[in-house]
Amino acid sequence: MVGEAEAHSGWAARLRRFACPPPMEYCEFCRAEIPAEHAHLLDVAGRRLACACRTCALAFAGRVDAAYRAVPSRVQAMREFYLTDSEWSGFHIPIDMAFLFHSTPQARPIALYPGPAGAAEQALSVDAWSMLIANNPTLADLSPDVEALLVNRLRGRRDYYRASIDHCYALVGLIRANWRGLSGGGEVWDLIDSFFARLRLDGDGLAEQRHD
Amino acid sequence: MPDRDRARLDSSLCHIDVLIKAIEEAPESSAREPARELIEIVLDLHALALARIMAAAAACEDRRLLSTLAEDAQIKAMLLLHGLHPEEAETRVRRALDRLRPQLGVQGVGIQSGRVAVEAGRLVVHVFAHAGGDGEQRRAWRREIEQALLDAAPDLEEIVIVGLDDVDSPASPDNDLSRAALARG
Repeated sequence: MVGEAEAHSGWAARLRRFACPPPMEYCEFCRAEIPAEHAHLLDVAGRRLACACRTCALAFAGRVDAAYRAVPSRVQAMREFYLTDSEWSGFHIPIDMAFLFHSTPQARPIALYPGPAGAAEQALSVDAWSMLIANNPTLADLSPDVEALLVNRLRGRRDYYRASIDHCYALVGLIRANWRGLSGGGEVWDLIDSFFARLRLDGDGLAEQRHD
Repeated sequence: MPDRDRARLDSSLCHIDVLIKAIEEAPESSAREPARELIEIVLDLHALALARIMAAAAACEDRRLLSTLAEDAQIKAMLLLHGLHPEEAETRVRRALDRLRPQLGVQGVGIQSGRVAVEAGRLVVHVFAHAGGDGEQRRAWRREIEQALLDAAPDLEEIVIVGLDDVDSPASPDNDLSRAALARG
């Protein structure tokens, strides 16, 4: 029944949105104006997300050999996940937050973790990745490059999501833009908390990502 | 607030949506941008003046002025529009539920508020509601509850109400109102 709850917005919010609309964004392929919520295509080799209109995104949907790949924006919280603390330390990821996926250009699994300067890479052994999949078989059908296992073990949490890569890069961007000083500052950690809170809501099916 | 003024405020707020839609769908796109900018400038002028009025009221030793301003329906609407209302959205939504409870109670609808919290930029309201009546009646109650909560926080980009699908589910034993509702339904 949680899934049926819909979001409403009131007259004041609608008037404000009309009077001060957010800056327009453009499709990087055909230059059409696109709304704030839009589709993304992954530049596979450059590991960069490109904003796309619906038509351009659809043109790439289902093509796995192209330079750009459609990113089906979704997130699913994985309620039952098997990963021990020692297995996690075995991945040698310096912080308790990362996203793991299979990279086609590198032909192996990798982990990226966010930091003040953007995403840093940590190679994953094929064995470690196979072990993860063996223990959590739903990971077997992650789409290479565009879908990841997003891990949040900060402050004692043990949250695991199957998340499209746009969500993962959104987290990277948020941290890079808001990191202050050596420890990041209080604000960035609050923003990270609220990023994951939103992911939990979306991952529970409370909100569907729409690209109209 | 006299009924006449209340009706006028309600009709103005409804009209805003209609006009926004008309401007957005206007065929002459050249007229759209100046219209939008005009509204932006007029809103800004009002926001600045209102902010100064509220600052002056807040500086007043007599707190009654501030609460009079915050409670007047007409003024409240403008304060909400400009993000100047002294009460948080959570508080306003809770109060709206409290006001609604006796009104719906006499009709056999029981509501209890659960957690009301801003989660990741949107306000999530958990409601436990129980009602008898037929499907149409229950849908009408549901609309009434949603509308009351939305009226209390028209400034929020997203308000998600969880639990209203339970409007016709069995009552919880600790809820007197819902027991009454079941007995009648």
